[in-house]
Amino acid sequence: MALPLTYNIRSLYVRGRVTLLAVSGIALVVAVLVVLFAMANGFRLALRATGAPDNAIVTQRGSGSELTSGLSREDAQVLMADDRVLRTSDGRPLASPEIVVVASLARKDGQEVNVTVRGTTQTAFDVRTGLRITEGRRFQPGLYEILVGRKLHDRMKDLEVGRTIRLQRKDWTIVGILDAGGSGFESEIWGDVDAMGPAFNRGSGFQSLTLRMPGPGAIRALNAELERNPRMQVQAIQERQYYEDQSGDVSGQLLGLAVFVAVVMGIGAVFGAMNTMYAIVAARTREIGTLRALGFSRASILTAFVLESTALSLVGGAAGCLLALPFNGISSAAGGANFAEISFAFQVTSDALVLGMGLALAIGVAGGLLPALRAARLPITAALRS
Amino acid sequence: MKFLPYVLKHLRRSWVRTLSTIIGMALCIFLICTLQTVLDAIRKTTEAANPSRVVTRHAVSLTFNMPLAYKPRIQTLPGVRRVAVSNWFGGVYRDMKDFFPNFAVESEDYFPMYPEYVVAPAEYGAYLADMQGALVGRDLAEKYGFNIGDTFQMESIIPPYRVSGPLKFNVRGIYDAPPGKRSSVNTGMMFFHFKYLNETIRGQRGAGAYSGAGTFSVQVTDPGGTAAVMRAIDTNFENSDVQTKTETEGAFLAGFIALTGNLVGLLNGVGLAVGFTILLVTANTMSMAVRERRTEIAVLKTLGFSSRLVMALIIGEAFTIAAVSGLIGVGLARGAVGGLASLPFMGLLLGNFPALEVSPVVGSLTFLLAVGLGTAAGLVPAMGAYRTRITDALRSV
Repeated sequence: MALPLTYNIRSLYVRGRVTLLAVSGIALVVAVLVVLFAMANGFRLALRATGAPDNAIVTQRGSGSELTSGLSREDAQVLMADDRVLRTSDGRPLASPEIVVVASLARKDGQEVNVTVRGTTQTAFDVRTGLRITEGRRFQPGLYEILVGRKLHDRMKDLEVGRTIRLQRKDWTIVGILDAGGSGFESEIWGDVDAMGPAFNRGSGFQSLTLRMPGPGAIRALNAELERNPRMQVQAIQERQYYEDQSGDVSGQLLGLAVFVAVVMGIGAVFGAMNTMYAIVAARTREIGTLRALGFSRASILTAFVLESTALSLVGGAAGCLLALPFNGISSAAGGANFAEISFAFQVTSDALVLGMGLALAIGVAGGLLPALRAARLPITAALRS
Repeated sequence: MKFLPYVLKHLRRSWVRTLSTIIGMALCIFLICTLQTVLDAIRKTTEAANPSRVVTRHAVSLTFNMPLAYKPRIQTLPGVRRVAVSNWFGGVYRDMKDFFPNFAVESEDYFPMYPEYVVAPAEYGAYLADMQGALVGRDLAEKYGFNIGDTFQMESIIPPYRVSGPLKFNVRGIYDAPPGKRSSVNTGMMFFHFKYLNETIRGQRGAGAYSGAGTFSVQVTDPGGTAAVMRAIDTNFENSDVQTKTETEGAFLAGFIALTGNLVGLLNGVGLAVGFTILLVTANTMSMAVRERRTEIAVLKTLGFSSRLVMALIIGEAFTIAAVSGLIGVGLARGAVGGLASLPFMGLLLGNFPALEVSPVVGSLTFLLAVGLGTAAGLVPAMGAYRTRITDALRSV
């Protein structure tokens, strides 16, 4: 016969202070895990959102990022003319040849950080979906005009529309703010490739070429062809894959930190929970004896105390999740591709919450088992006598 | 002191509780100690910077190179002692996961500026004499088993540096940190001759913009005049095609750490939460200990022990638990921190800091933190015991 769950819940309530301390400890452990996980997740999602599944990004073979890639104008033109590349309604290829440089600009706190500056074309706004100009207008071809990503604008000093910034002896006027739905492009500065190429001594070539393709299959086929082509030292990767790869190191580091901290703190919390449960068992020795005398079996006492410990830790887990929730949406920045900072928002996803509750559950069960065993093994007579 | 046996006896009485509190707390201290050691390593990277050295780079970005002709122009400025080109080569040894920093430097000018890289004179001579010579750090040599005379090759991740395929190197010397400076000098790097790189790629198609100087390391004659020299260098190139940006070595290195985002804040935040957890866990244990002993405390008071002494005994118990946990936690961190980098993922985070070790300062600070937190956690229950009225406590058996 099993004891009713309300018995355990009431018992926890009776010993309010001890319960509260134990619950708070577990809550903190869970909160730390969820927040670290939300950070790793946020970074990965921001970069993932940067790439589209149907876009191919062509870079020099073997280069790990756009920054270290080089692409000749001739190669770019051959690729743009490929008939698998989708076209606009007026027949132009949906292709954007781009250059990338890194500039150092001052953050609002005065610290100088690296920022990706992308020389691109008007077609880029059609090749990439989800781009909006929230303030001002697009840059004009051939002019020293730039767009500033929304997140970059929020984070850096003096990047208001109408101001100018000086890069390589040229003054560039900020003509608009670029909204890209929170993706990595919002941490960039965009300008016209034909104005930027000469200004940054990039010669006539490009660094990457983004092509809108019919689908992921076509991208793989294109890459297989390019690999066999000895005249072009280039590779084509799905844009989404490309940006996910870029996030690998940093989100891996954050995940590693999250796992390490969660494991160490989690084991610590198991001992904390064990402590509390031993005290609870000790305080209720006579009660346990009574229950046994009434005919409750050892198994049901064991279950009852494990359940009690689980209830305790689940309350802690829920509190920890609540504690972590306000972190959702907080924006932060981390080093991404091209040595430049990418800002992203913490994403407290359901995965993170489930993981946090899972940790709480594990702490509760592991911490409750030994004390519950002790409770179940108490000899009735001794327990009643105490 | 004469009450020590009393305190210890109590701790032994409920040894399961004492032990689990100590383990839980020691793990938290271990975590704090490890995180602080990483933060310490980050701090040291910038502090190891020498105030008499500045770094000149392209004003717009590190990824642009400056003309080599800038070297004599910097050299002639007043207050400048030495100038050396130093380029990040970005070479990959075997596989990307084995990546270590490697630089092409103008050795004859570079190494006199960096006395912290200690090489045996014979090895240094052999290195200078070999165009394909390489100097590797002690840590690196131990990690990959490099010996003098070994040959290996590396290919850069920067395409213009790959135009002639991988470069071949001969290990000619192993540099080490000066005695006692092992934790602040990075011996996980490799250096080779800039002229070797430059002559290999010069004139090759696609190498054009890259046959320049990535950074100039500049040594000033008088550390007091560093600011003036930095200004003089940047002013000198203000109207040239390529402007420069000169920073102290510390600021330059700090820029790379800022790149890793808010790592410092993150680690501190985690540390704070862990510290708070310790407080909760210990406070819980101590309040349980006091609750269990209400009658006993009343008996002590009846026997004539002062309230203050009873309170001190309880704080003493908390202190003992905290001190033992602190010792175990810090000890654990000392033993394990070196091996952490080999855990999956952690290597990415910690790989930048070779020879990670718990410094005496970090170790003792964490220990003090443990003792402080533990004692503080004992304070509330101890106050309760202090206030307990004998009659109340004896009544509630």
